[in-house]
Amino acid sequence: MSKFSDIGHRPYICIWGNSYVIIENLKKVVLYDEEQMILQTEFYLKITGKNLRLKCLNNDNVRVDGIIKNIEFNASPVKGGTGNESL
Amino acid sequence: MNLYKIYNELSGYIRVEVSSHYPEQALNAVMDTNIEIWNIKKLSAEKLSFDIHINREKTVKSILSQITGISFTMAKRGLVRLVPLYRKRYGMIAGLIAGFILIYVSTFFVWSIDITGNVSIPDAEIKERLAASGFAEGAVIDRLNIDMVRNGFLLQNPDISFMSINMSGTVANIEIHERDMPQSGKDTKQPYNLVADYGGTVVSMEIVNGESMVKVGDVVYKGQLLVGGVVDSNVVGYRIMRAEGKVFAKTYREFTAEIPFEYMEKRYSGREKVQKQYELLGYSIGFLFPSSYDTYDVMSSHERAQIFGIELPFITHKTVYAEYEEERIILDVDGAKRRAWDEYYKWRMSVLDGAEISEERVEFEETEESIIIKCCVDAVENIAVERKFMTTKR
Repeated sequence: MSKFSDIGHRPYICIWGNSYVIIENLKKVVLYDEEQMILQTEFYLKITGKNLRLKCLNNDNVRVDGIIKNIEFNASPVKGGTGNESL
Repeated sequence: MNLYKIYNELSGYIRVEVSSHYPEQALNAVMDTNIEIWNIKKLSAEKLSFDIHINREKTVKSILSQITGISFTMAKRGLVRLVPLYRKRYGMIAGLIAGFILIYVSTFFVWSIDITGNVSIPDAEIKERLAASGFAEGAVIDRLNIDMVRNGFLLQNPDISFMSINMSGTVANIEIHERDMPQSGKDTKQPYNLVADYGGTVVSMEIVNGESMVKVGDVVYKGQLLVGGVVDSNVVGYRIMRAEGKVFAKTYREFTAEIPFEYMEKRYSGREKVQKQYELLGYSIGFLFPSSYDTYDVMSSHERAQIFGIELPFITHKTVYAEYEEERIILDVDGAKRRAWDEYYKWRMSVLDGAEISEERVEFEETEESIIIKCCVDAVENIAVERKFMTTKR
């Protein structure tokens, strides 16, 4: 269990400069690509950058490494990726 | 993270490659069962790979099998993958085990001794002295009483004033301070005479102490007393002292040497035999066999094994037997004369060093087999040498 489980299902996001992001309370990996990543938490999180990769993953935590340029919060999967976001 | 990687490499892991039009669903499916995955790579738009622990192989396999429209491969990675490949190579396994045991056992012994602080006493001599005190390479560390060794060493070696022994793992760091011994100057309290080392005619005298027994112009012979260490006076009686000074005399010396036209000289043939002997923790391994050459020189050297700059208790002693042959050298008259001159200059440097040469006459005499050089040298040199004499108390 996450140490931040008491905050409910809201994602706990830790951003370390522009080099990596740790996200807790993850539900799904919607899209995994080197330049774009969409992760489902309570809402959808779109991370764009370069050389993005998932470092480690367990039940509800993930770490995204790479050169992070932008992080967006959306209520629904963002269109314009590979087209798999609606799955 | 590096320790984590080492752990995974040692314990083994499974690399899963998933092919699907939407490979992320495999990640989500595995993630839902609380299985940790790492090293997730997107190989292409429809291909993805990740690593899981080796114990989760069956679980992940059953999860991925339930997903439709997906194909996957699983491959073992890490050290565990090598075990089935080498499990029947008993020799290698035995060697590895023996190696580990040897390394483990060797940590109980002193591997090497590092000595610092010595100025005039060489390391090898200190190691010999330490060995006499029971401390040497190969000694069992637990059985060593460092304080006893140090105290015993200092008692037995008065020329060393301080010593510390610090064990750093299997390496003994020894620091010593050499004792500042009193300068060995002239002992003016001992009685000495000055006597003639060679016969000649006295031309000048420089007497610092003592009573002169000869005067300028006297002819003296070898062993004659020149300056006495006993000085008599009417006021205080006789005094015994160390006679000091220089007595210059005109001397006449002869030198004769015979240089044969034919002689044998050593020439290396270039053939060598190398024998190696190994020393582990002070114990020798291997034997030295005498060389089969008739005439040879022996050259020895030793080298200590090192790994990443760390000295190991393993020394390789290398003995090289270099064969040589006696070669007959034939000289002409000029060549023989050159050698004769060389011999003469060598003699002059050793006997008449510092002397003033007033005249030298050199003659050559040629025989059928050799050439003979005869030299007569007139020189002015210091002929006085010190001779201690005994005194008795009444």
